[in-house]
Amino acid sequence: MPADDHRSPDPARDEAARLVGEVADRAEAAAERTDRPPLGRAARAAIDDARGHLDAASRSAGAGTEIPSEARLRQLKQAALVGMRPVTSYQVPFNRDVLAALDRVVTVVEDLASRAEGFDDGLDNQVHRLQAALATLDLQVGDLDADAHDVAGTVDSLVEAVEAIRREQATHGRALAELRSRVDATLRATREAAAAAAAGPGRTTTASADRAAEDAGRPSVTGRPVDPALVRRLADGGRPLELAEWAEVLLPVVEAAAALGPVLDLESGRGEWLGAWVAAGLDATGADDDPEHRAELTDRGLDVVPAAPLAALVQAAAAAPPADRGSADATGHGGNRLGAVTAAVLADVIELDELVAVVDAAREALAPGGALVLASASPRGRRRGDVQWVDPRRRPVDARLLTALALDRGFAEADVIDLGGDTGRSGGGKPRAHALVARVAGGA
Amino acid sequence: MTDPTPVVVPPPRPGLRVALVKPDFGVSGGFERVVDRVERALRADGHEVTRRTVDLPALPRRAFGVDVSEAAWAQAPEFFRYAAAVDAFSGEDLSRFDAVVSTQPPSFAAPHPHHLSLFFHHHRVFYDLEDLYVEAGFASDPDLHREAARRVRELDAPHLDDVAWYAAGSETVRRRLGRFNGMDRVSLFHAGLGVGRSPGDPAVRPGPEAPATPADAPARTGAVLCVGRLEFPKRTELLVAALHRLPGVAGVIVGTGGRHDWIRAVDRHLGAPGVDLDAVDERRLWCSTGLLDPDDPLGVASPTTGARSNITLAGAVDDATLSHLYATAPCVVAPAHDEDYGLTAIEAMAHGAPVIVCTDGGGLADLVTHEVDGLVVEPTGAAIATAVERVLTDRDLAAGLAEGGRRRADATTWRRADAQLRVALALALEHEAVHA
Repeated sequence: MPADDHRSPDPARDEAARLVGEVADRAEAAAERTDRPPLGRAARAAIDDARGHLDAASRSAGAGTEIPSEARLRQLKQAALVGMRPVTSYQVPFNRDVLAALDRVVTVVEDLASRAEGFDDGLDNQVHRLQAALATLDLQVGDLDADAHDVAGTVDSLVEAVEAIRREQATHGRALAELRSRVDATLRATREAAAAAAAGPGRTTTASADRAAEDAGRPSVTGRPVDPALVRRLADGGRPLELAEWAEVLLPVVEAAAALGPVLDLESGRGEWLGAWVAAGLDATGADDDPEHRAELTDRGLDVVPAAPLAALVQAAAAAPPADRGSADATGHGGNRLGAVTAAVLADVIELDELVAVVDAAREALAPGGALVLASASPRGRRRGDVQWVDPRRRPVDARLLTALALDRGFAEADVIDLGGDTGRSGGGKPRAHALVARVAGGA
Repeated sequence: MTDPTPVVVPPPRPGLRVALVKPDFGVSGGFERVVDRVERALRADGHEVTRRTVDLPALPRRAFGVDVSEAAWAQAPEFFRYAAAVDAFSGEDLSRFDAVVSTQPPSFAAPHPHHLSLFFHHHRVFYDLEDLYVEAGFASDPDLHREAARRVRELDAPHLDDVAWYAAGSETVRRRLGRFNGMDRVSLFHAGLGVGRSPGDPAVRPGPEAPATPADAPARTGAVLCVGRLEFPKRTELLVAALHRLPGVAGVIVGTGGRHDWIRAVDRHLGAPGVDLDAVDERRLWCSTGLLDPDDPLGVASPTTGARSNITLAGAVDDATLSHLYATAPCVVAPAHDEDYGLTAIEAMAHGAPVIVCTDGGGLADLVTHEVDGLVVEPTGAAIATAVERVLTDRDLAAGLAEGGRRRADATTWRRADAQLRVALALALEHEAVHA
């Protein structure tokens, strides 16, 4: 509110304003009384002493030119003094000049001393600021330390939570794979039952039997399905005795991949490859949906799960955490993922769409750097009477098809290894075969 | 939390004779609890603590040898009362003590070479609140008030210079010491909680504080909460204005003070049928004396009919009730202007309640990082209402703010405050006041 010059006189207000000033002045005076002199005690004493001497000297500056009025024989002394005036007349201005000069020196010294004090104060202020900063910093360091602990705790909690989610996901994945297996089995059984019902009592059929007939160029002219037991017997007949030898050729590849994780051998059959991997000390498991094969393998002490190739791979992928895909852990090990997927008789006895699905599932199940190893009969042996072609399911699969397929489905490398065999045109001799070795990206 | 052990300043040796100097205002509030806690902390460190208080209401109408008539005193009561208090504190003989710890103003006037001031504020109507005080109409003679303010700052200056070290209650207070007094001998002292987070009120007990949120914490289905004295410039009126924009949202205001009737009248006024909330001059609501004047141009005191209210003025409540209100509030609004510290916000955070403060909230705004551990909004009813609505409708936001608030509150422990006190006392002992 601006001052109102026309405001009516208010004695209480005026008195209050006066007393505010008086109280403040007295407070200021009281504070000044307790004020320390601007200089240090010793410096102040020296300056004061110097000024005292100058005051005393100034009172005697005219000494030698005047005779005090109360002096005895003043007249005589005065006369003598007058006689000496040519000499003493210079003394007084000299004395005064010296005093003035000394006074200036004292003033300068005092000023310098004050400046020195001020410098000390300034230094003190800097020290204060530094100390305040340090005091604050001191506690902030503690705070940051505490924050770091909190963050570390939070990260630990998050890691635990992620691990729990992974475990839960793996459980769900396994359950899903089992469910798929059951659904597949149910559908297969339903199809077979339906086919059996259509064919009459005592007959069963399978899609592979039909396909075998087609592959052989002999369509099922009877319209009746082929007996699956017959197909199995024929397939067994076409199973080359050299599978164990091929395993020896492939062992270095599988052994290297097994360093990244366990080996899963698909359609283990009589266990030629599975047995070779286990005999080499590898952590290997077989998968086969034929109970007779499983019983035989189990009797030999081999570990085998009841699953068709695709189901076995889906189950294996689900058991491994998603974060493991495409990245090895610090040890170079791929966590729960597979080091190698092998199959001695698979690539050329299943339909192309199933083969594609198997290759995809293997890629998901393999650890970084892991290998897919699929053997296949060489088409060139077909005309030569290669025993492998007794298997009615067998299809000619070119080696280039296998490599092209693996690279197309996301494998980083794909090679074909010749597994040997006779090359002559005459019948008999060792069956001729090759194997796809495909690796997913990553690894050492 | 780890113990924030000082790494630079060694703690003072135990066995000091410490005078804890405090004005006695005849009331017991949050600051008295802080002082109690400080005394316990000093004793826990092995010091001998003596309370020295000056009974301010009992002081005669006399300052620095000047008798002030009743009529003159009534013209500038804040000044004369303050000057008398400065006179009393500056006359204290504390020479037998090794150190002095002063508290509220003007106990910093107590003379001692090793003087630590726990500084939470100046006499604010003569410093940072001078303009608002005049604008609100508290000063019957604004010229006299401004002159008194100038004189108070002059009167304080040598005593403030004499303090060896300051422990400021917040960054805001530290900034004020720099702005008004050019002071740089300042570290921080963040008081812990005033309201306990567990039965037994650990705020005044040594030892680690209890967990912020018990496992069986009640759901946040209570009322929007505001805690604080009903005084200028706490701006409770802004919350009232905000809640009238959210008629379906209940609000509870905890606290007592001279503006109780005014705030109730504002509530009725804004709840009257046909009131255009956008047209209300909110600044005039809070920047006023809070006295009900029939001639008030805002018409707050005018009789109203059919007014609706969604606000409860709960008055003073005990700690257990307050803890329950904090624990069930969907959010806590602290609309105060330029607070010294903001204990309410810390207490709310400790109880897991999202906090809403204003951009000019001083210590409150220092405590809250927008959208991390609370919301910082413009000081208007509309902005506060929008913030409340956000918290009520966005569960993810509310949960995030609550979590951030808990982390902030967890960092504001008495253990940390004790460490800050030790550091500040050590620095006060290291320094000798200029005027010693």
